[in-house]
Amino acid sequence: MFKQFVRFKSISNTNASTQKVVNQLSALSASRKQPKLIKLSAQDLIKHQTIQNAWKLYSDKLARENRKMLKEQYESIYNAMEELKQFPELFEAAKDDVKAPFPLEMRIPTDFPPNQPWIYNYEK
Amino acid sequence: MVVIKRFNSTVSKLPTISSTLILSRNPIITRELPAFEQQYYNYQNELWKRLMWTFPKWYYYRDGTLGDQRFKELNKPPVFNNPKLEYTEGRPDIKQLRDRRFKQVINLPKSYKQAEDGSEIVDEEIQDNLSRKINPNSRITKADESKDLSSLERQLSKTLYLIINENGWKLPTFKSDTQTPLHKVAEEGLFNIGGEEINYFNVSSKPCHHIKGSDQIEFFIKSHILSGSFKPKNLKFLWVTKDELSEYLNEDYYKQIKHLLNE
Amino acid sequence: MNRIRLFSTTTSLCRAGYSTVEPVHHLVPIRKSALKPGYKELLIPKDDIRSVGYKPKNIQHDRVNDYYENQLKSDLMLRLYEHDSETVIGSKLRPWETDSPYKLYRRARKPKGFYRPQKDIKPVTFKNVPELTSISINLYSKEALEESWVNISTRLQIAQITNAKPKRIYNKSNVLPWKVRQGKPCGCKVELVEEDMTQFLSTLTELVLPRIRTFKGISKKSGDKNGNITFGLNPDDIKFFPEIENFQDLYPNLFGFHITFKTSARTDDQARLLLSSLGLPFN
Repeated sequence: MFKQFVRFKSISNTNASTQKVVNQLSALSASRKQPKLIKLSAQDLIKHQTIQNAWKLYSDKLARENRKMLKEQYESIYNAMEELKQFPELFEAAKDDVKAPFPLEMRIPTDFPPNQPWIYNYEK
Repeated sequence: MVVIKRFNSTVSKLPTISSTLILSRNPIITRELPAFEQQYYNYQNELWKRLMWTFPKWYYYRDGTLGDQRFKELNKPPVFNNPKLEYTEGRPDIKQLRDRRFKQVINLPKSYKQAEDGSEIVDEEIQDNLSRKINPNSRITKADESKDLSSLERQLSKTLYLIINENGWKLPTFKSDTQTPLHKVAEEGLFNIGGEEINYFNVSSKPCHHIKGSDQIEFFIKSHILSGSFKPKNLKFLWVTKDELSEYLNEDYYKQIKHLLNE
Repeated sequence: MNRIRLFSTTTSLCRAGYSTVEPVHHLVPIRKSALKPGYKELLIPKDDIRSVGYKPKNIQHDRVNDYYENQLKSDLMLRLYEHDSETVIGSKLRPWETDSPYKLYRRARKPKGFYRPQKDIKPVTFKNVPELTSISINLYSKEALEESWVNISTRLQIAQITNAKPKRIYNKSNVLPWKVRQGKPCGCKVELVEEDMTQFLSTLTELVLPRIRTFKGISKKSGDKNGNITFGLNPDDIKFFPEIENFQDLYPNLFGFHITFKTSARTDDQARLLLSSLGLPFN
């Protein structure tokens, strides 16, 4: 008896559900999907690095300004509370409940306004 | 010459206090980006698209389906790498129907009917449909166009602050005794002058700032208006941005509270 | 024997036949193959455009971060400020007394009431306003224990939702009744930072959570006492993610997962306040 030697499987006998999983795996994996590296010339590389440095300087400046403003606000709160010590009843009342949450109506700004930018009818 | 100060009473008198409300409307839309920021984001975005993985078309549009057919109509395959040809702009490097040297541009089938020139064919029936074309609202509102400074719908990308006119423009200030908490005084005062139909959020019962005069102290309470409207009787009021506030308020006063305000 | 010193050497040439000093062998194995010039580009840091692993950051304006920096930070600082507050020292390891020589080299005692030393709670100033540092997603799937191919679907689902490639997680112990075997893949995890994190957060708060009818808010009991809040999503809730919603036939089986918000807040109350300000409801 000779066993027939099979070099290639002619048709993969995978059923539909197996094929689905194979598709999922290929959608997930990086193989055959990666682009070529960006090959920059020396001049372009310098341009790119200049852009990145400029951004770094810019964002650092913004962060510094923000931090300075926050520091001033902190000092304001401290000074106001020191001043409030003259009035013991008010000082006692000026304490917050950390557990009271922020309201959900405070929304993160979106790129475009909603159909109704402001809700006017509010009743207690 | 020596000046001798004489105090009338030995017991120092407590200064009178007042509670000032910084009532702000937070921005509803994102701020206007400076040109540099916008250009940088565009640059990084293009780099990101260039370095993206190839879109797994076979996963979303399986061969032989209707979606596949529509996808193929919209997206022509890239130039095939023929080894017998010379290419003036470099040899194509095709993998998975993408030229790996460039970013992949994909046109997806639209969910709405489209005319030849790309404009949408408006169908009355599907106006509420989720598949309709989405047209974002304008970032500039009617209040901006009519320059209505008392509207809450103006300058959506900036923080607005409430100022009222009582012998000159100022932030709403209320006289306080030494018993009632400062934020309660501010709340009652706000409801007294502007009606009760204001949904507002008091950030804290602590003052965020104070200004000390000769015999009076002004404490600042920070809060945000969330909905409703400020409807006073016989009182002029404006909603203004930080920059505009400097025009309305006393210069020294503005300098003292400048760091509390957002753009 | 040549006893004359040469110009090129400082020692005389009549040295003994062997050295009494032990030769030094390299104790740390050096993989010389890794040093070959072909691998040089792998050493370039990943934020350099020449690197293989370069991924551009700041690809678009981050509105969540912008809102936090410009609006929330000062509000949170005002709310969490406590006048004249001092650092609350957490309970630490307790050294033994010195009255007995037997206690001299003993390991320190456990902190009172805890197994591990606790962190100090510093008062909130402008330097340490709580912020969201990362979101960690953890998916444990029982089905993946029985059918290993299921773990492909779980990873694809997380990758689609989060725009980050998840890592497989493996069982650590053997529990036979649960079919848990050591080293068996049982789900995936991913840690989101920066843009991916804010993108995921805004999708969650604006598109997903408002549409889950049974969702009443994150439990107020959730938290690990260190400012990290966790909650879970059911398999039914996942279909509200826009990446899944329009391709439901491609995802026949969906998997629930746990989401942990890692914050720099020192207590859970502070972390909850921060998350509520970012639009997450609590009940």
